[in-house]
Amino acid sequence: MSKYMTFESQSFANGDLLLEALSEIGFTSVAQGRDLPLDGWDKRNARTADIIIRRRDVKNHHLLADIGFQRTSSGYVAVIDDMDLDHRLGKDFIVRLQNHYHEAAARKMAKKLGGTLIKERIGKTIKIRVKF
Amino acid sequence: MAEIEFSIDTQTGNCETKINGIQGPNCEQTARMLKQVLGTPTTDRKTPEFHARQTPKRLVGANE
Repeated sequence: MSKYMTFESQSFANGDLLLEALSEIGFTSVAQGRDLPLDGWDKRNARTADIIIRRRDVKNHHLLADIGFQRTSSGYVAVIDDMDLDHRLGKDFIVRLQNHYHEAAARKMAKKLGGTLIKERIGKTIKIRVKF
Repeated sequence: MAEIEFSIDTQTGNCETKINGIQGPNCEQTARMLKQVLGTPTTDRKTPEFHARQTPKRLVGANE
């Protein structure tokens, strides 16, 4: 081994990979822009985001507010109503999204490097080897 | 053959990466590509292999 890194942040560095991960967990209808207002938030606590899943587009989830991802210097950070997270999306929503994001990142690296990808699941860990 | 190993902890969402079989600047280049897609790492450690220098091959002449 020549280098070892760990990534524990709950922000998402790459917008395209975030969209891919969202699509994989069923959120395919996404609005993109800059500082778009999020619907459903109290006017006293109005929030904006750059990638938005409109609650009207995912009616089956019965969300109280839009799901947003605000671009920051460290990547896209989720802006989600606490009640939606606790009762509708599930408390593990961000973790599930991270898992899909990291898999998408591995696929992107394999493509960039012209390599092959081997994926296996060992207990609670997904191991992906990109050989190039 | 060079390899990047991703270990994704599905319980926490954390991801560990190991770059194997590449030394020096090429390893740094691959690490930079990883940081572009995964962001800033919380741990970033070079291993002894990173610093390993290729041993020059000894030329053996006919009169040795």
